[in-house]
Amino acid sequence: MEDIPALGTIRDWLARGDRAAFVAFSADRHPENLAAAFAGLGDDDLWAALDALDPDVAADVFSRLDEPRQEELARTRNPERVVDRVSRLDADDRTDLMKRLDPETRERLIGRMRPEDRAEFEALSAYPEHSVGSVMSTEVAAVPDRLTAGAALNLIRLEAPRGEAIYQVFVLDSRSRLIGVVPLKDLLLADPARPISELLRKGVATVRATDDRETAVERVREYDLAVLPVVDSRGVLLGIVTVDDVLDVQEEENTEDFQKIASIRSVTAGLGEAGLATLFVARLPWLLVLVLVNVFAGAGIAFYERTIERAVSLVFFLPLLIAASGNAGAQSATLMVRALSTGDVELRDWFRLLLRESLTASALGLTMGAAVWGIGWWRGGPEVAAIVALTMVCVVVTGSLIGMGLPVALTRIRLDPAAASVPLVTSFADISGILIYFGLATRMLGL
Amino acid sequence: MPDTGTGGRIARALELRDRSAFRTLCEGVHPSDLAEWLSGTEDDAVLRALDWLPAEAAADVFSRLDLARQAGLAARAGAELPARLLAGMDADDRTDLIQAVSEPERARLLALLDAEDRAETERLAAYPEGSVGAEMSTEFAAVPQGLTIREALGQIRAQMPSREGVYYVYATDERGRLAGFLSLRDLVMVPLNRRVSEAMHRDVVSVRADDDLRLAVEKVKEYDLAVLPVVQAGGRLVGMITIDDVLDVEQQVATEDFHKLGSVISVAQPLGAAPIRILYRARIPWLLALVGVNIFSGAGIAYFEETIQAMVVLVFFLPLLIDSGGNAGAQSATLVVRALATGDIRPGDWRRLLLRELALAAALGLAMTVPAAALGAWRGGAVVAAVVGLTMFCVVLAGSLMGLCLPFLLTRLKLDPATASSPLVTSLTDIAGVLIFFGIARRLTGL
Repeated sequence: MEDIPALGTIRDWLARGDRAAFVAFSADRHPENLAAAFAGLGDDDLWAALDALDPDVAADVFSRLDEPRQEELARTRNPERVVDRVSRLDADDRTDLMKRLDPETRERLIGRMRPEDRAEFEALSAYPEHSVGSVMSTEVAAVPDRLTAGAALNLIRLEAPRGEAIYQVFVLDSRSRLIGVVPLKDLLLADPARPISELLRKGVATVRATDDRETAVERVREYDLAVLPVVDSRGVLLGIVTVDDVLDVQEEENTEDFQKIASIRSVTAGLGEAGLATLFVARLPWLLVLVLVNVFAGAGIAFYERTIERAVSLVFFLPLLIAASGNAGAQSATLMVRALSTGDVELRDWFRLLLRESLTASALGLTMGAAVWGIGWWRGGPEVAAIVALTMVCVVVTGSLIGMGLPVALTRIRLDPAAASVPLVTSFADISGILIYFGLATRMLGL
Repeated sequence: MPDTGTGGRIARALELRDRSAFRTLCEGVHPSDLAEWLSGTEDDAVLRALDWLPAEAAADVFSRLDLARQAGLAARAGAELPARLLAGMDADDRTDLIQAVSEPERARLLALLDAEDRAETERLAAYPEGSVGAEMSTEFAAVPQGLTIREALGQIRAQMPSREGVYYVYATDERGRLAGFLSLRDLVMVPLNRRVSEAMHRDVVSVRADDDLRLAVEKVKEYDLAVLPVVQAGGRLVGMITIDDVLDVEQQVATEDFHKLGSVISVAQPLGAAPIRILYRARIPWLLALVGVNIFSGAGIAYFEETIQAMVVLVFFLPLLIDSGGNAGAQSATLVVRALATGDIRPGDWRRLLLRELALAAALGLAMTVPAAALGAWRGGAVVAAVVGLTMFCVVLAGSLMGLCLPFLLTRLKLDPATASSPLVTSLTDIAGVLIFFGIARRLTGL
């Protein structure tokens, strides 16, 4: 990483008003590095530093600070100042920040925003969370289809959209409907007199503002896009989703899936900062639900209580067998949930997958059965060995099928397949494991 | 979304060998959609389609097919078509294909390339898998920094790569070293007679070709870049990594972590296509290893056999109690593993997190104690209620701490923290659960 001057030095420059030294330091540095260098400053010094920067750079640096810090800064400075900085942020970053602020600060800022920014904020914040609309930016490069390349370029110079938005120029018909796209580089390199319609590429991939944001991730990945246009039901261009937003969405969605599969309700705050109460609320519900499920495992044991009383040594193998069943189920569920979420497998494949899973699980079960047969012989003789080995084969197959089937079944009834968490699958596998184990033992020992 | 009607009509045009209908239908169809439709079609039809498409589009569609399919098609197609396709492909895609085929076929395909492409392909193939060089694209635009913007535009017009997602023009010094960059936006906005060296940004972030690809992913995310230039040891510009590559890498890494957390050795190929043999090998090692761990649970039970014999009713609660500990542990482990992977927390944070986890687990444990004790009272009276309630508190605490510490411990030992899979944490917690449960029971009941 780059060497950054000590905070004291930066503070010194600011205090002395030594603009030259500060400008020399900040001129060739990436905004990310500036944000890192300024993070340790107090609120007043940080504002002074932001004020000393070029306003657009300052907005960029601001958007790279920690989210809590942004909120704090927005609260502490006089609203005009904040609004000026905030208005230079990308529209989606701006909406994101405004949504996170407390209502009072937000109202204060909204009241001082430019009318077009205010209208945009209101439009964007109306989209539900997790929709494409909630992550899109309304700043786009769009031109009517009757222009020449040169005229289009002039129009874009005037509009000067921020960030990645400029790299794909969308072409609209007279009713603002999207009809195609011209990459900026084609526009830049084309003969200025050529009509746009000759440069136009049709067949643009789009998303609807009301689609789930995961749709945008899939489409950007599938079509290798940097800018994905967002349209309404009539095909009117509403905004864009840029690939860097998609990267963030993808990371968040992955994290959510990770948490769900461990039966945690989504924790949106970073784990480092999340409060006790947040984590407690995220973890307790499933733990309690699973207690309920496990009561059935206990009921299974109660049902075979007499068998257990006569052959207590069977209990020795209980954790081993039900854990093996749960582990095999956890593997299947993990593979399946992830493959469904990345689109690696499709639901209509379920029969083929089930068949393959049965064969894989049988092979796994036979191997596992052979492994525990020896342990069974050593602890309880040939009869126990047979029971334990046979149970092992059955529970590994059952556990695997539960692990594969549960996510499929959940998707079928339009629930999130990731709700087939490892703990849930393990608990179901436990119940079936207990019934199989003691059922087999009762029969084979004639108890 | 592509409508499947067009796909059907394209298939029919191929079948009827109707070239003009095919070309009309393909106009305005995205190459990604075309590749998807063709992937379900016979080799002969695909070859015909590739032959009929304009050269650039054919190469683009071909690059988007599975590597195995590409290799199969190239092997069947003689010399002329593969030569055309290879010449039109991006260098990184071409290298992937060359590396995927057998030795004699590789020699044949390389011989189809012109000298320049061959040299480039061989150079790219020399970078080890997982390095930046193996994934980078070599189609970038670079100009000497001494030119004016107008001269630069003229030069770029000649060399501008076809690939989309090229948004930056890199400026090099007289020895080809990376000196700065201009965005296409700058080329649009800056007056034409200024020098590149005056207008360019010098705060350029780059990676080296021999760096680990994960480093490139981190930099793209940290600096919010769309494109990351790649340099050699001496600073010479040799390629670039684009953000859509990063999206794919990121997704692969998340899938690997997912599989590890489900105690599956990562399956590299898509789950839908993986044969049983591969799945078996990915799953059996951990299943067997966990049997080894679970024997200790059995040993714990054997140690307490007398206690159990005297109070068989306790067995009723065994699955409930050891599962609850395991579930709490799986939650903690998953949160920590994912947060370590996304950089949310750092290995040094363990002390702070341990304190929070203690408080959190105590709260969860207390909340879980209530239903557990109630169940105990119902099944076995006051003493059993006390044993079960107390055990529940202890196992949730033990499981959570185990889940939190194991990933950190693995990181300390320079192992992958994702090895702290839910099944491993659950199995370790089971041992602790058995000992705690029957230990408390023996003490409290005096058996």
